[in-house]
Amino acid sequence: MRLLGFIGMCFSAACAVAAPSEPGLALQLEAGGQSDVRVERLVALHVPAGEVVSPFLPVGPFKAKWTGVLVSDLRAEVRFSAVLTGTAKCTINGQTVFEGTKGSAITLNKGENPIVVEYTPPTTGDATFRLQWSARAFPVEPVPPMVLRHNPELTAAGMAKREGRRLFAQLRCAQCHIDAARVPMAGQGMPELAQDAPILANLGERYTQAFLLAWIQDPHAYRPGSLMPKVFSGDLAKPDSRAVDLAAYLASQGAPVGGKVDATQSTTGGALFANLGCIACHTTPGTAVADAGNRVPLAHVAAKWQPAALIEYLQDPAKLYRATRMPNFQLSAEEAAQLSAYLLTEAKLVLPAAPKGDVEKGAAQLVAAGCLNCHAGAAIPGRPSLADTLKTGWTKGCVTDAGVAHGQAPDFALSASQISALRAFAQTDFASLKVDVPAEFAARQITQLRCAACHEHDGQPSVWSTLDADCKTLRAAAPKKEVKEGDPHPDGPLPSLTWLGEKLRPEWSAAFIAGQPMAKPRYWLIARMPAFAFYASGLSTGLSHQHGFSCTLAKEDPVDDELAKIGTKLLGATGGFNCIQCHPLGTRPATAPFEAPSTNLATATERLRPSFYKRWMIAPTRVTPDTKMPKFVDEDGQTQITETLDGQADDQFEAIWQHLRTTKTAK
Amino acid sequence: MRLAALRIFICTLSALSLSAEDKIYEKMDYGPFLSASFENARGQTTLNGKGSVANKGIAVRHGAREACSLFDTETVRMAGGWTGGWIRLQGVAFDGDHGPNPGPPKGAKIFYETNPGPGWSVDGSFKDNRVLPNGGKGSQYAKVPLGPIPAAEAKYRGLFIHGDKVIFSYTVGTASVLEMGEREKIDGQDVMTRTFEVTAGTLDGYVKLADLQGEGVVEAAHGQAVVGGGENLKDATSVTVWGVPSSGLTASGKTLSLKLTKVAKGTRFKVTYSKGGRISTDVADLSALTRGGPARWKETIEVAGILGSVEQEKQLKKLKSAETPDADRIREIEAAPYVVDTLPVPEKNPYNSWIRVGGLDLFSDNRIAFSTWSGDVWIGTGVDASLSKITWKRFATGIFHGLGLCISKDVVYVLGRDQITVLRDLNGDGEADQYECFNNDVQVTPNFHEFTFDLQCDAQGNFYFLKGGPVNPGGRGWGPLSDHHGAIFKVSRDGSKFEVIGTGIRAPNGMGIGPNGEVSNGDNQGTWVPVDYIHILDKAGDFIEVPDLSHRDPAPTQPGTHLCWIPYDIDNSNGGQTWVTSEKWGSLLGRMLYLSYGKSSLFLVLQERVNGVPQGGVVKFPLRFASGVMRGRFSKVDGQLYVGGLKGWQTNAVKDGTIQRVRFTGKSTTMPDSLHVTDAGITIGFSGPLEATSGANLENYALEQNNYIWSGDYGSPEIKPSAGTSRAAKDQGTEKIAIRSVKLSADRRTVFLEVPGLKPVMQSRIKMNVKAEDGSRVPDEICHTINVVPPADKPGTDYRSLAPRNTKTSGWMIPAVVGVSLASVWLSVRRRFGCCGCGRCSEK
Repeated sequence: MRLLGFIGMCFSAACAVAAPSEPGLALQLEAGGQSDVRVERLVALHVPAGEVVSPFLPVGPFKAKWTGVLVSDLRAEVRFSAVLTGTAKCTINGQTVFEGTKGSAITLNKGENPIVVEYTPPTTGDATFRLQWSARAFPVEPVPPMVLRHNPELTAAGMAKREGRRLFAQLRCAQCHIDAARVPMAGQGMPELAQDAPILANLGERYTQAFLLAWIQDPHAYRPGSLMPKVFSGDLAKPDSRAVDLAAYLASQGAPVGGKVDATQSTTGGALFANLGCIACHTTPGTAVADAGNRVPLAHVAAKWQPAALIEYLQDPAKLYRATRMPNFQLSAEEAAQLSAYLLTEAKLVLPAAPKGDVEKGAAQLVAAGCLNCHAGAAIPGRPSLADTLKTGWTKGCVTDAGVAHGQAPDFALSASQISALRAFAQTDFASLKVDVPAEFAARQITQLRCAACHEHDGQPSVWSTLDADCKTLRAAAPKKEVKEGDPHPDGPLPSLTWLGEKLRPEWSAAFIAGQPMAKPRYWLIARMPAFAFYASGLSTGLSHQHGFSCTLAKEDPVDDELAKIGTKLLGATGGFNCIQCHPLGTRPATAPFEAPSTNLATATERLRPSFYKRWMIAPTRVTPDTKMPKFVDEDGQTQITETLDGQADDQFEAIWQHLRTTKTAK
Repeated sequence: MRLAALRIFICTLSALSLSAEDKIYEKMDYGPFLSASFENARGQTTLNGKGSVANKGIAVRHGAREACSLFDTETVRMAGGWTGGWIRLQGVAFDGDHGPNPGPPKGAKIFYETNPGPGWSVDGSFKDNRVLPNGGKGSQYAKVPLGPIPAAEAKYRGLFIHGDKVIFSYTVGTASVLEMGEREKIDGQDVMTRTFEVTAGTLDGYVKLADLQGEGVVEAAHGQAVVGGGENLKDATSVTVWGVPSSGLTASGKTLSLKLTKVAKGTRFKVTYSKGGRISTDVADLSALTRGGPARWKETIEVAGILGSVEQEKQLKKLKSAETPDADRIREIEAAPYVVDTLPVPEKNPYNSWIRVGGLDLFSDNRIAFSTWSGDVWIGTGVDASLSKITWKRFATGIFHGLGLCISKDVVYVLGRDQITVLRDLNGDGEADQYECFNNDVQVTPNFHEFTFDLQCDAQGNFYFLKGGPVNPGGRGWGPLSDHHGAIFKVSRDGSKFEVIGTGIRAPNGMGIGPNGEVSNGDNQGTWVPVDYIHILDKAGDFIEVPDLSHRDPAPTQPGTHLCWIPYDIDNSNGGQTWVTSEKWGSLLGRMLYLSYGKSSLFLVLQERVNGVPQGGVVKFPLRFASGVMRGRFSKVDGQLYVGGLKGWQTNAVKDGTIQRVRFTGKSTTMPDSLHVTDAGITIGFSGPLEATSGANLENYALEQNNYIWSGDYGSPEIKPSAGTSRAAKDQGTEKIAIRSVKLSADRRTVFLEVPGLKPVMQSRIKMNVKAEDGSRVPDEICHTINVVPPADKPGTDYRSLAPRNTKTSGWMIPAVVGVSLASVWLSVRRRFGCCGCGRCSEK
């Protein structure tokens, strides 16, 4: 490992000539005499006082240095600025464009412009930094992630140990390999350590014995990437007798709930599968082959579920598994029944009947095989301690190289890169488990929860948007419904994730991601944001920090009544921007939204950070290039409503904000 | 849940704060009549209902919105008469509602209704001899007849107004007839009346008087019929005939009609519909009312224009007083070749007229006329260099969505959804007294979105306009089709001939007619329209874009070849095209301009022809307008461009209506003004010299390309050209195309971007960061389409349209002068670049 690290450093030294091929910049961090590196999608950070900047570094003063290239379409004049506590310096093409607290202009070359940004936080208080730029063609905005690139070799070592850390937590290694010194109590430190595994209560009510056996025998055959390891040897054709017994025992827990499959609902369910975005994370149940987009297969669902149980599960997937990655769509009973009908009608995989098995022996296996270590959080002695495993540098047992027999150890179907990531993590002191950096949590979980399956992110279209043909087929098969104006439709764009941390008030986004009851902001879409309750708060905080924002917003001054009055007019059709044409305002419907239904303005001040609202109003296409929101402001910051507030866009938009605040505080 | 309840309360408050603001459409005085499509009192339309439904209705207002007579011009029938209010003002041009049309107000007392179909009949059968749309074939077509009934039976000719009276003029067979619907107060009771006068020929036939459908007693005897009213004759209407033999009253089937036999010229007669006791009445002299009445809009509105140069001074003062003045911006403003002057529209007027400019044109003395979406036409005087005093006078009212206006030989032609109307001021009081029906052959259905747009005139005096498809509420798919949905029309100079000359357009808010008769149209993104485009019609009958509106079987499987596609961020909602016909407007004579309604912007269109195939792109002028500009005209007096537009649907416009003038300041202009694509690269011509360092620097140019997917979806994402029609994530977006080198010509007016191996592509965006010789910025982007890639030694022909001199061309098919010849372009390129012109200088 030492050698590998050395080679890694050599690569780093040579990075100046290697290709900056990956999105984001390399962020090198130093604290307490130690260093670390990770990929950062933005030139921004927020570290509250007393928190670490990296899980691999101690608390205390730190230095941050972003390196990589800024890509410009053509030679262009831009000006840099920053919002910060502490001091910073930014050089581009060797020219200083920001120093201390003052920015300047530069002509960027067409193509790659090497960029170095160094930031030193203040000695006390929060560390906050956001690098911004502006040009004639666009107003001040954060430097977008889409124009930043770095050399991945620079960050490989830092990212490998992070991936190892994540795997260690999410595969729940410490449930078997106990180490009270290295691993904190659940609920402390790294949030993923608090993830649970499904409760094994009354499985016989819900699942078939045949599936339980098949799953125990080889979970990854049905769910690639399953966190559940293969515990027993053999395969389904020749199952391990322990697996047979265990399945028999689990199936004996509770009587099957049964339930009918209403095949007539199947095609309606199929349309829901397309319209709610199930299809973005799952291949269609009739598909047996693996998917390049890592969608989770469903071919086995009919062989797995009791129909009534599936309906219940779809309505609350987290009921018996708090940390499940399957989100809660808050389906009505009718929708759940339709989806269930679709899944159970279309899934064609037939599993062989399970041999009878010995229930009592199975019960014993539940303990002996270590199931309860994860599924009940009750560690059974007999597994090597974490300290013991580290003596081998994680080359044996669970982390045996791919293709090498696992012996008695469970098989997590780890890829070679996952194994090397775990081994890289093994080289650390594990102190990183006791802390966490919300920005990194958000980065990890955006990947793990497949947020980008539905949402555009950093210029990358969503998986869902690429499945247009499949969605159309599913919709076409469903019974025709007359579509009236104002009915939700399936193909509107979903909001991008790119600016989420800068855009939404953290308390609102946490509530929204958690699925707390509220009016649906994009009521015109059939799609609905499903709830990821377990992850919501961390995602919300982490995204704010990623964008260099605190989760505590400055208190706004009292509403300026005079401005608010002007704002009323500016919202309207006469003498205003006619915002109310597309946006509802409370119960007042939009006057003529046609193809551009928009969010209810009455919710704007509770949803949006004021700073983002302004940026959006001034240059909406800089945030969402294909938005239907008009741009009202010219490059001099003027609107065509010259008779109000001297035509100054900034003041006019402030007036609208003040008006919207009065609608809020009226409660 | 508590959260939701709270929100409703909040919302109520905010709704209150805005509710008083609008409803200008309720306050507006529409004049003596209003044209629209009408529903009956049951909310039914011509597609599904009987009675007072009309596609081309004219609702005559009686008293202060106290009663209404509804005349349907396409069936030449009085469709109904009621008291209890005029009409319910509902629909897209009123409250913005997507679907309903005006109809009798709630609680209206219906005196009579006549079922749709001809209002006159030779034999009393009232048989509808119109052919169903598409000959009755195809489930997508409406299953009711549309458009005017055969002219030989009866033909609407127009109307006269006199005070509040409206006199309809039409022919029945060979006879000319005047008819006036009124609400009269006779012996204290409301009586709905119809007065007729034969002004030429001899009138023979039956006129439809009332629908006998439904409950009620019919009794056609003693010169009187009683219709409707239920079992006890409660609310029944007595129909009485005056001035001709009442024996002609005929109840047949479901129709009460009046048989007229050999009624001579000069005969006046009347039909009354009453609900009270016996009445007596006079028969008015209608001819006397056709010579112009007293002026009704006597109050004119004076406004002072705002010169762009004054605005510039203000801006400069502000910029110069800044802490660190932006020298580039100051220079740019000081050197601006074009400024935007504002001609304030009579926004505040005593008639509460909602001024949303839908069409405009200028008279030969530079008076300006505009039409509005709400149906007005106004004329302004004082349009001079200073704009110090512009006087607006209301000229006409009641047009069915005035979204196009054209002045031909100093006569105003205005386009409504129902017809082209010629407006004539008979008594010289500055107000139209005669609304002559110039041509009403276009079909109308009740769909809210089937706007007719623009009105253009070619050098021969022929007229052109557009009609969109019947887009469903919500924006996707179509309502029942007529034969004319989604088409371009040509109407002969005398109004007698109506032709469909292009099909398959969706929501085309604007077209253009070139000096040589070039016919162009824009269109709006939506079903089958991936993004906006500009199309030049190659020949009459061409299919353009939307197969559902092609009126062809089978439907086309690929779109027409467009001059260019326009990216959504550049234009999201098109306006019209205007050709530069003025030598006083910089160096752009013969070029096409394109207006964007959605972005309130003006573009220069660069065009070439490669073996006859048009291709090109757009460059934005650095100008902003206060409304969604969509119509443009060059003044023959001052040679400047006048543009007008409105804020009606999604746009960044802030004014309901605007007229502005784009004035050339005489300062040098440097902007791209020609574009040629060959397999060696792209040649961009500039109207002025570039600053050498920036112009010759490869780093100042970038090229990105993408295609779109032509499908029944609403719009299309950008698709990488290498990806075919895949919508996969990896295939969405644009592709950057490497530019190998850049060469600036010796006169610094031509740039050659060496891009070997260019291929046809729907969208090619040339991004530039170059400066003009004086240091000012040059528009930084050209968005163009490559249809054909000719070899480097055979580039396309630069396209300008210059007015033909002493030629007798007849329409757009024989352009007399189409720019400069291919050989001369090639010569000029060679002259500028020497042997480098083809981009292969390394080989030579």
